[in-house]
Amino acid sequence: MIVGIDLGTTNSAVAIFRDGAPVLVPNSLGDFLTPSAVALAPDGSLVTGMAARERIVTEPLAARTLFKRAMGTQVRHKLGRKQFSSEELSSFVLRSLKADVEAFTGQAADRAVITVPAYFNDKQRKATRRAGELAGFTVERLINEPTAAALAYGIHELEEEQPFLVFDLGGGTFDVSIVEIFEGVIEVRSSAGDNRLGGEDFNTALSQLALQRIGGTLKDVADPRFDEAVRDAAERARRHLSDSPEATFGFVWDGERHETVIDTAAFEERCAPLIDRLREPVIRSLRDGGVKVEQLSEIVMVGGATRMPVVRRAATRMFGRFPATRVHPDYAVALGAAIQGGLKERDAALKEIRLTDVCPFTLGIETSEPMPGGGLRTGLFSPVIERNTVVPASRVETYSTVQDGQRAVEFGIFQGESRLVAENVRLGSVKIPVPAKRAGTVAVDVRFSYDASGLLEVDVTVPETGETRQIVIADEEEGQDAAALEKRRAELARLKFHPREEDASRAVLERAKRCYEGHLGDMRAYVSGLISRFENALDSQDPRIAAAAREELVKALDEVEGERIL
Amino acid sequence: MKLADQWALLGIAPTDDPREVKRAYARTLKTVDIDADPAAFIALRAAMEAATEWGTNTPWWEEDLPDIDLDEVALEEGEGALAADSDDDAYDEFDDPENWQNWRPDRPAFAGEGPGPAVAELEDLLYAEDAPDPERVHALGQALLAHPDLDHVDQAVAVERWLAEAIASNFPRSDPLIEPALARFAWKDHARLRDWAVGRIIQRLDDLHFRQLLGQPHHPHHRAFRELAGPPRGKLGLFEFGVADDVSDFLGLLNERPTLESDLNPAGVAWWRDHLAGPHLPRHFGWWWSGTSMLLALAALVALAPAGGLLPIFLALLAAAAALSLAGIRGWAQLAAWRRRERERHWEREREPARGLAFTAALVLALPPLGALLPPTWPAAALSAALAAALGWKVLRSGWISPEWAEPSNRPRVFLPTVAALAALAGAAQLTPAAAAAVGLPLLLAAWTGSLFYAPLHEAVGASPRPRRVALAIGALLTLAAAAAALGFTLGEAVRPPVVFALVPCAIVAAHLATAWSDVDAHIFEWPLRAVLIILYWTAPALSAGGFLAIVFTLVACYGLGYALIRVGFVLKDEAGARPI
Repeated sequence: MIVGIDLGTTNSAVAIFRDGAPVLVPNSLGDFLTPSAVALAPDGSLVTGMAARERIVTEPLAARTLFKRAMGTQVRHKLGRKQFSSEELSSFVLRSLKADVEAFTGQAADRAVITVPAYFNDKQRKATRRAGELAGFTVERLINEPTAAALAYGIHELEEEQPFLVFDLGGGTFDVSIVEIFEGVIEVRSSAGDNRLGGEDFNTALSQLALQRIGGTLKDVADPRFDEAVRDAAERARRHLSDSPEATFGFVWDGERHETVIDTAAFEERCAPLIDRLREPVIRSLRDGGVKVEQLSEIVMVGGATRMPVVRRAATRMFGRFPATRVHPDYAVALGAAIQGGLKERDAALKEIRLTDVCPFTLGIETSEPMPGGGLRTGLFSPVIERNTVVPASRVETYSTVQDGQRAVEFGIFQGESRLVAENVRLGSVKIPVPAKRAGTVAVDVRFSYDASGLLEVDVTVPETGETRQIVIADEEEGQDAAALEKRRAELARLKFHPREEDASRAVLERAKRCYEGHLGDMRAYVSGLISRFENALDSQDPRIAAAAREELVKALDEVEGERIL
Repeated sequence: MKLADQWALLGIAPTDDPREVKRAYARTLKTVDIDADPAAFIALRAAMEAATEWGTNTPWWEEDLPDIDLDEVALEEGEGALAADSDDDAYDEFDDPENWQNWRPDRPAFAGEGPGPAVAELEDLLYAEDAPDPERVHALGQALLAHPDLDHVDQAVAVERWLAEAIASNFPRSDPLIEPALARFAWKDHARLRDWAVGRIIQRLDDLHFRQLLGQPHHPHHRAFRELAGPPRGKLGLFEFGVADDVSDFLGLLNERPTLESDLNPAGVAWWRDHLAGPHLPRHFGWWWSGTSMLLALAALVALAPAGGLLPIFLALLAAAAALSLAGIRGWAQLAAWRRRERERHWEREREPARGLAFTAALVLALPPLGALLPPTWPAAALSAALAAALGWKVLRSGWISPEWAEPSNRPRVFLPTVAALAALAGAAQLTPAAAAAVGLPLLLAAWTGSLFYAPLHEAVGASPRPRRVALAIGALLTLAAAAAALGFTLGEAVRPPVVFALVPCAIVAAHLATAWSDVDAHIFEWPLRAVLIILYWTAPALSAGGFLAIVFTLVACYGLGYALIRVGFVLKDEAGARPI
């Protein structure tokens, strides 16, 4: 069975393809969304999901989220005394999703389709793939998030003849894709995006606004606990703003409660720079896809952040119409990934469906050109595969030597849109010897082959000598092989994981603790009493008593702070 | 692959209907397993794209080419070359910036009112007869960019397209629009590889920065820029050979910075292109001329001196001159090109001050003691004074040591007094080995340590806030001065009067402090002060004894050291990168 996983910045979701339709898989708490968070429980075991998310506020040094933003980098996240990379933390989340699927279906889930933001670069994709492998999956395919959403939408709209636009604003990334459907072929025509724009940036804007209003010396506090308390308050206020004109932003710091009321108008004003950044990828994808807004049949909004009225209004202004609400913004990507899994498995229900995607960025090599006054101008980018080329793709470009008597040519391989390689992402390099002749007389063919998962292969040939070099772009710093990966997987597996059946109780308990810290006075005493009662019930070791007590505690907490947010 | 084969792959007869091609593509795609056989997919996709593009037409690469007799073509080309002027008119039309600046991008049609009037107003202004007021262009541009209808993506795209092309084809009139448009459309973040207009605008941004540097009188290309931007000159003066070199360098630079052409006066450019195409003095003639004449002057001087001790030096100088001549114009040209590149690098602020400074200082400081070893002669003193004046004039004016000194406006203030003082002192100077050592060694040491710690010091200073920088500068210079003064006192028994040598370094420190503290342009009081101090310091020992060659060395040393010190002063002073030396 191939599972489809939406590995998000703030939340993840998993779905499977069953009986001709994608089905969402609930986690141990019964939710379809699992927060992408990892924490150390007090007993030293690793806990993921809701419990970890709640723990961030109370124990910021023992919990991490938003690690997707550092995917593909060497950043190490501290968790207690241990340190993990983003891909390792992601693998813990994937691992818990795997357990959820296995509990749901009773079958082993060992193959997966994982989604990545369309604008993820090669390194970030590789890291995501490794995260899947570390979690024990065979990663069958990485699929772009907007493409997955387009699949989830398009599978019901196969008769659609006009292109539609997928507007995917998640927790940490923003992607836009133009998709066209004809005769059962779902074709992505172009994608564009911004890797560093998402709901979290709106949280930051909101908390800055609120702290400014509260004033005092609060904005100078540098403490992870403070940051998390503020972030949590911002998240709550932002959710509130989605359905009411104003919201209270409040948190407890240093034994004191700070509060301010934020209204929609002020928030929108603060968000204007972020809203501006939404426009550029939209324009770029439309232009690359050769489509005008009026030709679009639909604007499909996915990603939790698109629920914000400020974003919806901006989209309405941009497109001159109201966006579609036919797909669920939180689930569409996971459902699409499951459909891709079904396609991969050749499910009978999808026999007449084909999906083609594009490579959203330009791939090319570094070149030099002679300057008029002698000397060489180096560091110029020469595209081989232009962005928004349908993948899999294979392209050849011919280059020639630049110096008399040159003995070898080294091709730096880059990805990006800038004219200068220094501003693009370096993926690797390949060197090939050439016969020493006059400049410009030796030709070298460079072939780029880019497969559907985003794996790049570069072949370099000198036709004159028949010399050939090949390079499969792998992560240069890591350079790991299968054995090293296996070793790391074994190392991670030795870590102690929190038992899945206790996840629900752990999550509620962590929520109660956070609630305790977020209040003062009588309310705090009340929550404290609730926690004691619940811990007593857990001590009884009777699952029925524990479940009943949990339900009671959830109800009490809902009364204290409103419904839990995902 | 032939187009016919591609139609076969799609399984349909050639058609001009793209929908039919798409349907056939979709049908065939169902039979292909993209994952298992990517090559089949790539071929199918290529077939679909080719079929959509060409339809029933024959692509150019499959057209039957007529047989061409190559000899005949060559012959025709040969004849054509004679009448090239008339034949190439079609191309000239493209090459001539006049013509392509007259090109206007199509104004987009807007539904309803929309941003249409704002676009029309801006267009009228940009293409008006007379150069428009930049402020008004900026204001209209801002108004257009702030238009509420630009929230709609289609409108924004249309305006962006038009604006990019209008800006790109309208430098320098459109310069005030660049900044707001860049900010609005994020062109820089997503530099588009294929978009000529945006590429040109980003190039323009770069060139504008360069242009700003060009406006400063000390920039290596300033003279050429002034020549080309101004009205065409009727003729070139007899000794203005450097100008032609500069201009030809600058014209080469235009390939790299194409938009600068719009800032030049077409008539001026045409005159210079004509001049350079016609007979003119060889490149770097000025260097040849001045180098050879300096060597000849030196040689004559040495030949005039009595005593046989100078013969080996004379021979060595002759050999050097011969070697330089043999190295030929290519060597000179390369040297000059290297020098210019180096200087440009300095202007681009990629300097490596520490190494250059250490080298200059070491060389300069080693010269007087060496000179002191030569035998003293009186008749040479008068000649030294004349030579000092001539050399000083030439070297200062060349702008070789410091580009600022080449500026005519600086002459009365700085280097006329300098040259006069040099000549006077050089004529009167005497030097004994002991005195030279007493003064030379401590300063050598001080300059050496100074240059050694210069780079880290510079970094520390550059990164600190102003008061700290001043304190650091004071500290560093006081240390240097104290070291020099202390050593001067210890070794300076033979030196009369020793107090002078203790005071002069302190005065130099004071000059530095004045520079570091004052925000006013340092030229006014700092240069003459420093020049006099340095010259005093270096020629004072020569009051007791001396030799004419020592004085020649001393002169060179004066300039070198002075320049080195002034550079240190400027680097320390240079806060916002306003003064790139």
